[in-house]
Amino acid sequence: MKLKIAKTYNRFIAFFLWLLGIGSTAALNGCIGGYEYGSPHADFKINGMVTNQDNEKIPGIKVKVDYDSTYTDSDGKYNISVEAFPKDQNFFIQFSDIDGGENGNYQTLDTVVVFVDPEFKNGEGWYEGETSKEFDVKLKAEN
Amino acid sequence: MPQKLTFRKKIALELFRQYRKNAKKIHQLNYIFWEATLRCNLNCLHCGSDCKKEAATKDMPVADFISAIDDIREIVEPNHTMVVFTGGEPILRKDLEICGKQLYERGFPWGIVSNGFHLTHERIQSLLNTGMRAATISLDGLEASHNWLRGNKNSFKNAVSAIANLSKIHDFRFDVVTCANRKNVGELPEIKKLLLELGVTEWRIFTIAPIGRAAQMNDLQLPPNDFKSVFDFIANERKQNDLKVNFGCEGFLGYYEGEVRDNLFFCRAGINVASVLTDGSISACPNLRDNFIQGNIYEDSFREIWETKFQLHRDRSWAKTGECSSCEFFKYCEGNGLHFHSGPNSELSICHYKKIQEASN
Repeated sequence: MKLKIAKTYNRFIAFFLWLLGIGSTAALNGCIGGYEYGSPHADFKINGMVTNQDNEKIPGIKVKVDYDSTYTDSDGKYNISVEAFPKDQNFFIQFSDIDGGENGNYQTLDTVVVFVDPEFKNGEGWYEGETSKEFDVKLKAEN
Repeated sequence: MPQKLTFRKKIALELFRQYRKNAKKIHQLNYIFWEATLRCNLNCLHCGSDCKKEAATKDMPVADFISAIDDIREIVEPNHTMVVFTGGEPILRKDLEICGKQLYERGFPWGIVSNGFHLTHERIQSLLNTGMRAATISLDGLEASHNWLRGNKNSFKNAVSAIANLSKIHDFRFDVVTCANRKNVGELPEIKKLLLELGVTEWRIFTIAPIGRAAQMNDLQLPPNDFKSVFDFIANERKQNDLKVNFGCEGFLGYYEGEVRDNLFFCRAGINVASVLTDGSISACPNLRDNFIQGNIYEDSFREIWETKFQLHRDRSWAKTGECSSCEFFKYCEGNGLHFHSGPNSELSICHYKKIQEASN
């Protein structure tokens, strides 16, 4: 029981460290490289749309997961992929407005994308393939 | 003036201190080194193993190592437990594939640490066919400085060839490791350029620990200003996003924590990492001295040793001696990596933080 609490506690700490811009879940678990180093793995694809509270699409929003990042296109859409162990996964994801007032000013959103019982396609060997999830978010305007 | 820790980093370090405390309690084994051989085809100036072409200790039979793996299998998650063949030069063993295949069948990912000298295209294919999923290749400079350190005029050419071959493999994780020293520290930008040309995506930089042969050669140790320049180089390169550069798992770095590594400093030896050495000794990181050995697979159960020993690895309070005794950062560092101690209860051989401060002052 104590060990379970310690493991859960460490997951929270990993999340807060990530918010502070230090470490990732993979880096915090491994010795050399991440814990996925050479182990069975899969691609977790996250795609979706970023809108404001008036349902207007927001282009140019930076979307960051672990060490990868991308930007929403002119339709507010984004695609990002993370390589991880093929099982249930939680990925910390951040949406931030970094283009100044060009497309409005929005608050940064830190949240989590949850994959439960993911189904993987097109795998071979220890690469178990890919799975995807739609993840739309609404950003609040900067006060 | 020395650069100070920001408020953000102080919070992160405090959080990570608790993380480390929990990790010690959990004590989950997820990284096993196998010192597959002490034989080596090179004669490196900085070798931490004091390896020779013909080693006095015979190679451990594959069956004996696999038996130790079977013993520990119930307390690990095989898919989350990396087995790394090291040495010596593991590629000199012709039966690595037999061992690799048996690990693969048991669900363990495995990889190698190699100097790349004999890692030909054919051998890579043979290892891949039996489940090799990861590799680390040493490249210690441009041609002259690499060959100087490695003691062989063809070592650079062969290492580069191995790196180029590994880079072409789809869906394969590997990195290049460079030991920074006085000869190559000025070459780091050129080495990076070469690695990018070769298609490398991950690069780790270490300094040379004063252990093994390197303990006798002060020339291999960087003076404080060069030492600090390595961290400035890494911190700057990490902002470029063209190559994932990390400093190795050594030393608390003060201001540079969070700037030069994916994680904060944490020596996981004996907390998550164990080693089975050529003679059957059970240790933590293979770079540790003999007096950190906790048992032997020929006399003890690997599982029992992991579950009941490794106390001095998990409780590092013994390291708070000498210069560490009054250090304000001991709570984050806990006496540097264990391989910088000649044994339990010994003083630290090098303090990374102090050396950085020497350069800053």
